[in-house]
Amino acid sequence: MARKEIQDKLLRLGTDVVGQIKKGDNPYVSIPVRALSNVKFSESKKTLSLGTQESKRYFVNVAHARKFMQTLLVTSFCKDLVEHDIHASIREAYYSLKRNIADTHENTFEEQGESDPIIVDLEVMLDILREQLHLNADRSGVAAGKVTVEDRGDIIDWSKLGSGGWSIPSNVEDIRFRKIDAKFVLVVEKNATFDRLNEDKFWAKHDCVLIGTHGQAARGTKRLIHNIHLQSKLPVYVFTDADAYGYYIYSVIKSGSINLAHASEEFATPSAKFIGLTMADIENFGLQKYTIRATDQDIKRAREMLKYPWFGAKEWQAELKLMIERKIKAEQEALASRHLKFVSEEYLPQKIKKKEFLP
Amino acid sequence: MATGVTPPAERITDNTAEFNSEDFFKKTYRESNVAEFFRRNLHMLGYAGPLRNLTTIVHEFVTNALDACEEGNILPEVTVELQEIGERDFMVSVQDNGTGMPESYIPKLLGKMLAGTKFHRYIQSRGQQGIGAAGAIMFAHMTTGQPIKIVTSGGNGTILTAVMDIDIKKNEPVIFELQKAKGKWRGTKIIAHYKDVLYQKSEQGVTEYLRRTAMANPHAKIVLKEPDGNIVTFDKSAKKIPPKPVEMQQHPLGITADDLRGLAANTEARKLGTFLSASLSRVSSAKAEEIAKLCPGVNFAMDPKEMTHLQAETIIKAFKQVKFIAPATEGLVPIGEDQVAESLKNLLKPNFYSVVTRPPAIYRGGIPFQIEVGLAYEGGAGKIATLKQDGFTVTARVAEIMRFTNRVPLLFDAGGCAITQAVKSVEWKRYHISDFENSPMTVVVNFISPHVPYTSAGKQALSDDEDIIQELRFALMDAGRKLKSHLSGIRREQARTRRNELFNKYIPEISRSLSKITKASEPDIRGRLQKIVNAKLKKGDIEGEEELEAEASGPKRKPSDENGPGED
Repeated sequence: MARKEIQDKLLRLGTDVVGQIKKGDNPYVSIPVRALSNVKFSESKKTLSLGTQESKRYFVNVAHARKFMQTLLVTSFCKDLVEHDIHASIREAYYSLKRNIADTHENTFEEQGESDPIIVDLEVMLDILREQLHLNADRSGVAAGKVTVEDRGDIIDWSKLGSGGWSIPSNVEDIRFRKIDAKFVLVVEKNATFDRLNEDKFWAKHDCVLIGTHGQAARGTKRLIHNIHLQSKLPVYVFTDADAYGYYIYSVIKSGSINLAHASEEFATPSAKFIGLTMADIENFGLQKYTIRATDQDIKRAREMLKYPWFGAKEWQAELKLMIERKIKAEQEALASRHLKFVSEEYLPQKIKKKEFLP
Repeated sequence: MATGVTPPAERITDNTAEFNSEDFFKKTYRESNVAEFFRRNLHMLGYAGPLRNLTTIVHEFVTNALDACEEGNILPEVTVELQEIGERDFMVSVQDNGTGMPESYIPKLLGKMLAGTKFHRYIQSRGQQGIGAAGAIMFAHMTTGQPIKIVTSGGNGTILTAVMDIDIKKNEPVIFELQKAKGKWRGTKIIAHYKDVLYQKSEQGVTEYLRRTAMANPHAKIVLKEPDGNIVTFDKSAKKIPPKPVEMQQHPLGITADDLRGLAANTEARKLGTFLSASLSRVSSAKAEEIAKLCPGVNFAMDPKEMTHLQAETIIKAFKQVKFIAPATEGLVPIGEDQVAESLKNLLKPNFYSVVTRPPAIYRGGIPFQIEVGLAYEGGAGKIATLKQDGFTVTARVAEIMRFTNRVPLLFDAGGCAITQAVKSVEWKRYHISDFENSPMTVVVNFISPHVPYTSAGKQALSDDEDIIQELRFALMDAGRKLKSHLSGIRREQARTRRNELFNKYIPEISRSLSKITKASEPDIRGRLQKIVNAKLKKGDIEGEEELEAEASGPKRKPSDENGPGED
């Protein structure tokens, strides 16, 4: 999206509100509702998208006034950023906008927890990504593989970055892929698993792009997976713990999330497949003694996920039900119970060879 | 009594259980009975500890002073002076502007106690606590041995000064010196020397006693010269002397066998039957006959003075089976709503107040009484307390209850008092007082009756008679309702201001942002927003209250219900 177009969208939001004020109306902004009730799952695209429900945020409304003020503050801040071509983290945005409201003991924002959702509101309202608004989320995520990228004029070879790998920036919009020499992309949840596979040079031995998400994938990481796939059409396999949290991480990479349902087109990788750990792996790889008892929270979460349409596939329904029934979970690291290199030398090669994936 | 000895002449029955030795009576009783009676009953007469001693002394003299002034139709101006001589050693003087005492009356200051009559006038009066000034004079004699000094004049140009003591042996007042001097002045001043008295600025001290006396007597000006020379003045807020309470006849349902014999001792009637209809209210001769039929063992033609206690009890039992008209209540004199209001305003300067004087009611079926309540809120209402708040010591005004019987403050035994009970039983939340104990408020309650049912001889707490509690609660709730309507008015006002504030404070930030986004004129947007807000507020067209309440009080939605874990 061109910068001019983004500026126009921000300006239009402002002029709409000013127009209402000039008519003497109670001014408002319309925000698509970001909740499960307004999220649609497309069976054909395998992605989430936002429905048409909108809520109006009015100024003269006891419950809205403060957020209305905050929305305009963030809008004005983003317009400045785009105009002057500066980038800011969402934390910097919070500090830039936080100030005392004259004659009160109140601040425009009391904590970052107030400004972050307003930023998402603005993305959804304008249908612009925050990266395009020059706001950057926190980053986390590493990559390794026989890949060469160009980042702001620097050429980076992911195969020559030692034990740490390439740290994925929060904004990957301007990353260009020069070379991708791989047969698949392997995304792993845990840093420890990434380090194990990196040390074992798994990506060299098996020709893959290795990406570590460090828990729930950050926006930059999701976007990077999306972009690699878009450009190379390589299959994407996701490797997480066998628990509700891990399965959900996979689903967000594959189909998008409720919060980012408006941007699934940009972030989701619908062809991604789940490699493990699965409940079946526990038996097949002799991990029975290395499982953990699932907490009530895990079970509750799994029950909720049973109802999500994007977990509607019969394999996932069976997997979740089995987890609820057996009340257990297992970590990626449990595979080390066999031996340290078991994961890189036996588990993953075997799973890939047999194409044992969940959809 | 173990030995069955009855003290002669006087029926000092209840409180003399200890001195039952025959020897004692023979040798000493006649000579020192008054002093002995006094000493043995100190605590029941209001002399129970140095702090209370001083309050009781002041109470006795001030009550006399107020009565003396009202008797002469004079708006009372009473000055109390406390001079510290040494530790627990004070000169106390009380001066009024009443009609003064004639020479012959001075010894009667000791009258009640020495006369030993048990007959009480059935009338609403202050003098139901203690045993009057006589006790206060006796207490001086006991603690310092010093005589008291009385200066008095009727305003006729002659001022009388008398020094007076009690001759314990003769049970008689002794006047040592009596001087007459020329001078234009009117009133009475009593000066007495006390030990075993303590001055404290506490809730039970003299200052508080006088403040509360002023509260219940808005027609009186009361001045206190404190030991440190500080002068506290409680000005009058009313210019009318309250009407005199009327002496009433006792109602048959309100008396005991002992009361009945007391009445009989003073009657001129020669037959029991005529005595009953002559001395009691609502007893016609027909009713007297009805009673006679219920008491076959009692001869109603007998001399009432010869009625035995047993016979009196039989008659009292019969009373309960007869239907009487309720007693007359005209004799009761409340302070009055207007005057209580003036008092509250004068002494507490509250932001809000409400006052209720209930219509007269009856307890025990035959004793008339009446309740008055004043509520004062914020301003100077409530007592100052030191509280711990978040680890800091702060002072704040908290609830105080001022109890009165026949305009006399009760400072002691608050916990055992029906008034305290009734106040605490009220659901103050209903009247917008969310936390009564910690609210800046003063509750004034005056109980009026010719017979005050105290819990004990200490006469500092009202007993919890059901009728009285109910009436107290009605009065408090009436007053609470009135206060609530004041408070809700104010709260609406505050809510409106808060709501104005809620929107107005955001206007500058919104205007600035919109101006930066669109280059529109900031002052123009600001002005227009202000108009929109004002119009909305004026129409009362404000939305979002329910949403806000739901957010604030409703169960918080678990994030997991709607969003995935750890999403950004």
